[in-house]
Amino acid sequence: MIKRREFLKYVGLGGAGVLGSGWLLEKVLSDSDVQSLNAVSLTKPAVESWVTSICQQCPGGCGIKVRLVDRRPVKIDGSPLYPINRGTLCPAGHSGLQVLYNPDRLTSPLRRVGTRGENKWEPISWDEALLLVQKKLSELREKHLSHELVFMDGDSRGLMSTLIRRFMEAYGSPNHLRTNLNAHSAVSLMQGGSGEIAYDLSNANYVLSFGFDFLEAEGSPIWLARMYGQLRQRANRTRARIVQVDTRYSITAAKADKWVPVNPGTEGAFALGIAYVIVQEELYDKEFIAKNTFGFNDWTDTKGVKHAGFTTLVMREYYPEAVSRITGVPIEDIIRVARGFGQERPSIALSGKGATSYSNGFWNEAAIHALNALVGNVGKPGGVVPQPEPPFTPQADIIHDEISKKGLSRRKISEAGLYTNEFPAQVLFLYHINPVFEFSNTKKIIDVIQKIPFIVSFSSFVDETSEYADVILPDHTYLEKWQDDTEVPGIGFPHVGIRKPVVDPLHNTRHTGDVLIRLAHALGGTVSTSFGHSDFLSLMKHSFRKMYESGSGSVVSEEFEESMMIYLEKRGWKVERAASFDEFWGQLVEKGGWVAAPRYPTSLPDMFQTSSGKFEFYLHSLKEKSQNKDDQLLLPHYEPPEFIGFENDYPLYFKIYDTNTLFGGTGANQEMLLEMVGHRFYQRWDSWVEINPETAADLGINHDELVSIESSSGRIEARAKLFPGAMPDVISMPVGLGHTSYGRFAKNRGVNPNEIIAEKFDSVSKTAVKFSTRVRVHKV
Amino acid sequence: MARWGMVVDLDMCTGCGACIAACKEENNVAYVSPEEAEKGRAISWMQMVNFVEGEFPNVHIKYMPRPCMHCDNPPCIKVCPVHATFKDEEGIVGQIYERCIGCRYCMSACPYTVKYFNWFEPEWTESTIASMNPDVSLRKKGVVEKCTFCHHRLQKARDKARAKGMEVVDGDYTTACADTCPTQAISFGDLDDPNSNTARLSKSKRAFRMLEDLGTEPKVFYLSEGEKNV
Repeated sequence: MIKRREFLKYVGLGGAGVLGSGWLLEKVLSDSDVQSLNAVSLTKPAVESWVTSICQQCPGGCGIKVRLVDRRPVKIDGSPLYPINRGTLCPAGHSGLQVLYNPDRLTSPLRRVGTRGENKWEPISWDEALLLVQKKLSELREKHLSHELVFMDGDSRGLMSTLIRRFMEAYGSPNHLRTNLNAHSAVSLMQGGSGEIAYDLSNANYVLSFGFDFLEAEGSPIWLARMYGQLRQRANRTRARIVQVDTRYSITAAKADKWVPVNPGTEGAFALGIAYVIVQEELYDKEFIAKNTFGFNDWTDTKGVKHAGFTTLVMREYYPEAVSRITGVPIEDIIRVARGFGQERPSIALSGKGATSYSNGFWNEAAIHALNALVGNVGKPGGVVPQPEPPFTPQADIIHDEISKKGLSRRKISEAGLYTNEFPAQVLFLYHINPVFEFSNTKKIIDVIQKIPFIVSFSSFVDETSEYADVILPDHTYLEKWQDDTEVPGIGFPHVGIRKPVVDPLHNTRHTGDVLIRLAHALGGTVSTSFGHSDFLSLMKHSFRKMYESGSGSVVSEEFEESMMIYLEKRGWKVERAASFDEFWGQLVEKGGWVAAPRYPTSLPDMFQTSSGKFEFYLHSLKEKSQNKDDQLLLPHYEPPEFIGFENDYPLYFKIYDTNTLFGGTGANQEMLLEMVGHRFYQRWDSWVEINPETAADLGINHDELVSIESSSGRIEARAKLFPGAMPDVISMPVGLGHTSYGRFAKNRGVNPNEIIAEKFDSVSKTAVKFSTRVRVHKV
Repeated sequence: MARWGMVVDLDMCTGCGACIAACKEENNVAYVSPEEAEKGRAISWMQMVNFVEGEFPNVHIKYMPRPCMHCDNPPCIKVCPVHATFKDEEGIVGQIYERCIGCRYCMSACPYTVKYFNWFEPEWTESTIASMNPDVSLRKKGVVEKCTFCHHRLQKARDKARAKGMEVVDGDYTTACADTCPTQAISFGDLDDPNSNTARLSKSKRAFRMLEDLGTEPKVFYLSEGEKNV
């Protein structure tokens, strides 16, 4: 028998130890709370179950297991079966149920009744909404203007990406704009192929990261954090060294062994300075260089013209004194880091947003990646490895009619085109993207969006851009839908995650994949016949058949079983498999994914798909593209970054960064993440700006004071945090707050730094870059 | 009988805050309004404490996740006039909400500031109310709350063990924070069990405890970061 005293202890410590202790909850809840809780039926004994799925709070692709009580989700944890995160999860992952149960979710399709941006809507039926969209699409095709359908896509990969691409091609528009591409453009020219690479961090000994904030929000954060744990305290290995080259003392810099602050945009110069020391002291991998690279030494082409090699350029231009002048890094640091990198192999150089978000980002990345070739660390354990794809059954060919052929022959618009009047869209589709909030110089974006006659949003919430939409066709949240999750950036083994409905859709929403298939069928003709599947789920089943038939890999399992599978597979064995596809599918859905052994290339030429078949210091393919005659401009070199705003008027560099809570802004509708947003600065629910204490003293700014930050594009106000990890001439701000829409929690909290970022594009790859703005700061 | 304790390896901790989020979700910790949060009244049983040292460019920040230390000699229980806070046989320091009169003596006695007061009736929104953990009771206005080492999980583990006629041992249960830590920096277990990994780590050369000289005998250990040079 439980004594009163003991019983109270249990009550105090957290419930009565059995599920369904509803009366306890009722005691402290108001009547209305109790009413909403009655839906959970806490007054009866409850049944607990767990369902696996894949998170979508960020692009990290972690496996989750959701705890359900009476079939109602109450908690999200990491799935121990899933190889990316092995039972662990980040703050945003835990916050997922606040997306599912969010009070500001759209409950049905909406048609705009107010003016654009006014946020006035009327609910309409799905049939009505789809008819509206279908009519517009038919009209456009009849006018032979199919290329003026623009699909902006911020978060699609795997089959969803294939489906959107298929829809656009069958319809006849080249304008599928993806902003979530992880392709390293310089790497793809140096190695050939798509440029999708992974870093085998767990086997590295010396990690030299150039602005790759891998402990915050780049790549797949949990995977990288797990690799970090292994670099630090792994069994039977020495503790690896980590050097972080960055313009801000990020969490990664804090956890690194050394932080090297460099002048903004000079990361590439620093890399070339390291290359100088490595060449000078002959620390490079001579065998790898001789066998597998092109353009290291001077060479003569078929016409007998002499070309300068990488060494010649580096030895001439990037001696430590010169590099120190450019980067602001002391000479002894350059030499020390270079020796460490050259000697403590396997060493690996990583490039991230911090190095590539400048106008010279392409060349920074090229210089950084050249270091990996110098130490011969490409295509082997502890180095840069290819990012493999899972085997999917191909779909039937797309059938083109005359209209789509004509549409597809038009030139694809670029991100830069958004800021000019050339943006040709008649109809705009928005999928997991919010340009009015996320893109540089948001005011200009609003002007462009305003001019588009018809806008369709697939958002589950009314966000800033959806406010300008004509129709909103709300998608399910990730906890309510079927989707595959592959191509997670930086994971060096083939994998497929199965995102499945953890709960039946709470509202009258629809899977965007299903909506697109239905639209295609409604459009008729070749657009319709290009879609053989009735819905997204059957497309998934069709595509996974090859995974089953190929016999490679296995359904995800506990860590030990999986390492056994990988051990066997690497030695040519086939692992025990399901007897039929249906059985395979059943296992796949239950466990939540499929994984296979990493496939390092058996020979390096497989990895280097360049015209020379080797790793190219000299970028042949760029020569063809740009007709550039100057050798020096085709080798990794330092190109001074361009900034917007004159130094006299705007003396400080402006850096923005993603946090592992808000991920660029999508997390801002969740209380959990808003409360945690600045937990490292003890700041909750609000924005802040990091300023060096001495700079602040010069400007007369105190800690926590409100300051104004002004660029040539606009002005915002935020609270100053005096932070010794800020460089004297760089101020930094987190992105994600400052919504003017996106629900009650997000609205009017903090400020959006994208408002004052001037638009700027990479000089080679033409992608938008965001660290090119200068600002001035003063007390309000 | 087990003596539950925790070891946090600061060399592996990345300050990501997953422990904070997991704890809030697991334990039905209420969200206060942004205005109250601004006054430092946000409740989070697990906090990420940081220490900034040095000046540019030789700056160093240390991050330390800080739950309740579950002291073997807890100062908080000595000052409680109503015996609302207590230490149980397995070393877990608990708080009986129904007894708590909200005097906050324990909060001022705690050198680690890990006890939190409910200044207002918690406001649950549709986002949070629906995902309540039915295993954990909610707290009302005027009571102090704190980390329980996920005691409700222990109760479940004990039920399971007893059904087999056994005692709860190391590995039978873990806290939500330790469960979710991406780098596995947090380990939780029986400090008295010689086979426990947690107990082994707590005796590591790198191990230390917060404000050890106060004699509170915390059962949360930290492992210091590795040597820092390049």
